Amino acid sequence: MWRNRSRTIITASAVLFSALVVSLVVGFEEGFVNDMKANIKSDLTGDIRIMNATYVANARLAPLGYSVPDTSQAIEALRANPVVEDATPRTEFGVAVYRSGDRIPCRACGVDFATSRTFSNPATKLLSGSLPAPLSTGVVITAGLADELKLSVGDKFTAIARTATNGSNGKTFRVAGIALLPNTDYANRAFFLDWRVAGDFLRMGDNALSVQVFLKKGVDEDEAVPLIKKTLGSDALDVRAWYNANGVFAFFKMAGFMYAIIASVFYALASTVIFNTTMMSVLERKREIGTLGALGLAPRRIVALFVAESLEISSLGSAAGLLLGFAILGVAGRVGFDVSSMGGNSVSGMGFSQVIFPSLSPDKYLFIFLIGVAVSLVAGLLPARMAARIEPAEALADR
Amino acid sequence: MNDMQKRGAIKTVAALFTCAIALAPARAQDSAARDNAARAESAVRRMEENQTFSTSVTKLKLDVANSFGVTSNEFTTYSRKGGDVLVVITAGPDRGQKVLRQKGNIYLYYPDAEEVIWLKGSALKDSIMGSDFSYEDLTDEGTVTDRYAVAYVGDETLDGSPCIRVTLTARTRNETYAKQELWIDARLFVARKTILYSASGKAMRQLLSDDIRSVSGKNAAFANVMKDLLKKNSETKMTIVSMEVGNPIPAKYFNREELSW
Repeated sequence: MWRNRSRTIITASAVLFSALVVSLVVGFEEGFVNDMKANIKSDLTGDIRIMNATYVANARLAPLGYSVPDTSQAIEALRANPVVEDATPRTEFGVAVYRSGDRIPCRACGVDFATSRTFSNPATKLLSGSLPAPLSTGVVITAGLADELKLSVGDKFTAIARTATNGSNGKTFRVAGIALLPNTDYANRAFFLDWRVAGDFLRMGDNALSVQVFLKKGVDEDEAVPLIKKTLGSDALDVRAWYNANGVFAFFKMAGFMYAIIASVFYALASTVIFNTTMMSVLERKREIGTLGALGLAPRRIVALFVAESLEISSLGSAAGLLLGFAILGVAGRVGFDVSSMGGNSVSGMGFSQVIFPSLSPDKYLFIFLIGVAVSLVAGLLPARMAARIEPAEALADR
Repeated sequence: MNDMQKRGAIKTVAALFTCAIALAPARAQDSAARDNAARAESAVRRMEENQTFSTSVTKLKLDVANSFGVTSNEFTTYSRKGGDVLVVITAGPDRGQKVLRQKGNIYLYYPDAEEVIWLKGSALKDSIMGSDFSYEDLTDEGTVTDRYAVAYVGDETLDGSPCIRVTLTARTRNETYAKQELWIDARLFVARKTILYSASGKAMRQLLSDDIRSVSGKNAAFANVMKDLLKKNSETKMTIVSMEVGNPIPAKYFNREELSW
């Protein structure tokens, strides 16, 4: 392996670089996916999402008249279910905030502040004021909205929305608090209010558009769905696991396939280096191969010699690349990667946080290592087989 | 006059006589067209006169039907000459809301809002009480003949009533509807059918009016059905429950500052 030190180092470096890039790409992808998953569950769906089936079937029209009937009773029943840790109501809808003759489109969300995971998330920071009292017209606005409309705690604003009866309603709210939320979807034009006040505002009565159900640890979502359907006992409700309730996440999972292709490209490039190195090694050591053959070494042992050499180089390179990747991901995973500083507004609407923490699970490290080794093995095989076919007499006669 | 001169004069008279006979049908056609154009304009003016009162207080019921069911509201409109209109929703899910049209501007009052909303721009396209009428429909100013060029299309019978069919083409781009087609009852001068078109020529809405009654010597359709032709299963029935004209209305009804009464 050290016969030609420079070539060995170059080859190992190619494999190191590939393993490093792949580990970083997959690490960032995993960080995004984990972040998205956490945000979707805490801010949108829970582990299981419950909505009115007619609303889901006509979601494009947002028919607010189709809410979860008797929401409070449904939540009580769910909390009594042994697989459920908690359930909380949620009504998200579009509004226009009226300011000086202009209507500014915003997102409003009716929640139960006491049980909403959006507000129990340690990453959510209440910058000023407090959470509003239940059933009050106090709201929590996002820092971005406060900046844009120059609102402070105690200020009032009027919002107008389409209602469940297809008419419109306007209401004046008071800013009770200003919060900084990690999810970029709620970075700017958004505010949160008591879910019952939202229901009254939208003429939905004492009902919410959806209920987020959080399962106890270790409970599988697919197993929990039929149990929850049984608890609710209504065909009018759509009950589904979070990953079936969010189209953006499904799209992002498909994008994972693209990342696998990117990884393959890098390894393919590294494999050309391995191939080249092994081939040069075979050509340089033709006489030695011939001598070994003349001494009775079987062809498959000659193959094994060269394969072992390329395996050694690729293992060293992969391990070094992964170690370096581990170190970088370790730092990035603690410090975080600020997406918003890189034009993060472009990812608004996809459920990402402003700061992403990349990570890579141990099984992925092993997987990347093994893939690296396997690719090198295949790349080194062809030249090794060529070495095995060298005729001893021909090799020894070659000066 | 000698023979040649006499023959020349006869030829000239004969040629003139021949021309007169040849042009007579065209002149008759022109005359008929002018008469129909005048009839069309007259019909539109008389239709507008039927809609003009010094003051009126009208109680109406609005039933809005779509794919998800029917929603009903009741409201009262107060209007006075000059175009000021106040709509007060008196029953239904939007009860207590008010819509004021003043000098061509639209203002909304919501009981739970601490300020009056001035509606402008694209917000005017929002529907009123979820119906197929929009706030934009309330913003028209000036007479129809000022804003539209009237053209006669023909005489037709609609549901047994002889009607004059006319088209109205907007004189400027500021109109809500670039073109309208009306079937005006030839005896009562109320539009029995109206189709409203966008600037691109697409038929957007259709209004059918029936149950025409006389109110203080003017005719009004008490039953109206508006359909949004761009949506499926969307229909608004607007029925006049009662109508009083000529009675004084307090000025504060048309005052934006006093909408919270």
